[in-house]
Amino acid sequence: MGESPAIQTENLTKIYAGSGRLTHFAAFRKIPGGLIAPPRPPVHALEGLDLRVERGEIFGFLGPNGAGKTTMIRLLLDLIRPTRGKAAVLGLDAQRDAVALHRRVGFLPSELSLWRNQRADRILRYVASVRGDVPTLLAEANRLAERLALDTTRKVRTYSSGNRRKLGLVIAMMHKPELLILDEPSSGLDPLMQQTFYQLLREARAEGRTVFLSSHILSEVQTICDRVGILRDGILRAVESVEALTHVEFRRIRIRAREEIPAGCLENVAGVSEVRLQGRTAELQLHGDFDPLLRALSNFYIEDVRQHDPSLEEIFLAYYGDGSAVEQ
Amino acid sequence: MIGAIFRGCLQGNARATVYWTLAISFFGFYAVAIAPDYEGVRQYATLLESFGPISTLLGVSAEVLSSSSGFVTFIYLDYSFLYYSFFAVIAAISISAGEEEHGILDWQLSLPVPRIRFLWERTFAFLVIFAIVSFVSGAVTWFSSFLNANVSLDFWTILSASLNFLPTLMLVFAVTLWISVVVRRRNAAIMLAGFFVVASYFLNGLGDLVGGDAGAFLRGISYFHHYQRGSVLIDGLNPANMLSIAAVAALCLALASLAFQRRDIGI
Repeated sequence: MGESPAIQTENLTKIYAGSGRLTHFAAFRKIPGGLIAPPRPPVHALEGLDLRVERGEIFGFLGPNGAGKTTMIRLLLDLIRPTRGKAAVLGLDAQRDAVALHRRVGFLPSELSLWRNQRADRILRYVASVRGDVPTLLAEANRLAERLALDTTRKVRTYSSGNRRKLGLVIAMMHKPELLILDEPSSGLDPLMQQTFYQLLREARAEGRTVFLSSHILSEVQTICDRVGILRDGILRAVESVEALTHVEFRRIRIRAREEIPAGCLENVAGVSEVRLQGRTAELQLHGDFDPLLRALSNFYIEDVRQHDPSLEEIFLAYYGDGSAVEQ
Repeated sequence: MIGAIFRGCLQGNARATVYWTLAISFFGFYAVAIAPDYEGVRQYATLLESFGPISTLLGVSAEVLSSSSGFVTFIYLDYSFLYYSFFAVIAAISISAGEEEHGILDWQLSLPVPRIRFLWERTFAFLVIFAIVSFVSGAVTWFSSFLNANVSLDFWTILSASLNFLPTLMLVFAVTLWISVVVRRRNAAIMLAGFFVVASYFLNGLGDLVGGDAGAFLRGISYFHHYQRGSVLIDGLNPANMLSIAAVAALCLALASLAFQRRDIGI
């Protein structure tokens, strides 16, 4: 029997209760001209998510704000409890074995808040003392801080958002976790530090460790991830290798003919969509084989055909546009 | 590592501990400094008694106000306990609803610590902080008595009174913690816990004012009554009463822990 996956979820669902229950004090919300807001309906943050992340890979979790990425991460860390389904992390039940799991996982939240009046090195010492082996952990923390050019002798309140992010990365990585869970990790880092950060993640992968990161920065995912999952409205739409995702679905084609291409001549061609005609030039999106397109253009003298694979951003937009890519 | 959160909480609140100690010590010093001679206290007691029900509502007891030392201890123990109560409210809210609202709880609970241990280690840290503030302030008040010839404080009485603070403070702390764990929102928790403190203070006085069974009931639901500052001055510590209060505090803490263990964090 092989090694258990880094992350495995089955039918993982999270529905946040609405605010209709008056017994729940959090239901009270300020609204203009009144004390109590009308009841909010339940929010389906995550719906029936089945996901498997293998050990030793860098997995990107992609989706816009509100798609359910952070909810998923919070479920994996047992900060919130699922409405249905279950999650296993490093072979352990995310809920039942949460403490054992937290020993082996490093976490960076999307909006990291720390004690503003504490010095960074004191926070690192605190984290090290909670985790156990203080000298070893502090040595690793110092090494990471040095690579990220972070001065740990300053108070948190004097840090820029980028430096706070770096401190969060050091906290998440100082115990060399088997699984790194990073929520929007590189936001606030300057380009140079982003490169250092990517290098740290690659080194983690080279050591057989797993990285699970959520992001809405497509270039970041494209740069460092092996596979990517696309989440939309709490539903996992696709899981693919970055390479497959950028090559399989569709291509952008630009054609230049000697004479004008008449309107409508490419409209009913199989696999062709989003046609834009401009005199002798046509730009279109092609799904599947080239043959139907070439046959449709057989009466024209074609001067030039250029193809470029769509960027992850274009694929992403296709997923989030009208969902056509999903349907196909 | 066991104790790390306890130590972290002590270190993180070192400055607050110093400030509260200074503030309450200063209040003890002030109570000594304004203490009049025996004739002055007698006039003060007569004046308060002339207010009739109001003096009862404020919890003034002729038994306690029988000397300058009684006057100091009454002023110090009564009002400083009210300040301590607000300290306990602030402390309890900071470790749950406060840190949760600021997002600090997220990464802390991703560390390998059971939620219940997280809560309990911090609770014990605040018990130690309360003890430090209480004993140091009591000692300062006792030392201050050497500066006023009218006052002669008994060290053991002040020490007993300081010790008597602790179970009731832990009760306020545990009730506030329970509230903040359940309501989640910092401001809502402050409002409810503040109401609990102020309402308890006045219910106790109102119970004295009303008298009879109704008065006994009103006093019974006020933690200020169970705090028994007056009887500590006269009869010394009442361990059974202290243990009863500590048991109720432990029950509230258990309920808070249970709620904290079961609920979602940071939503």
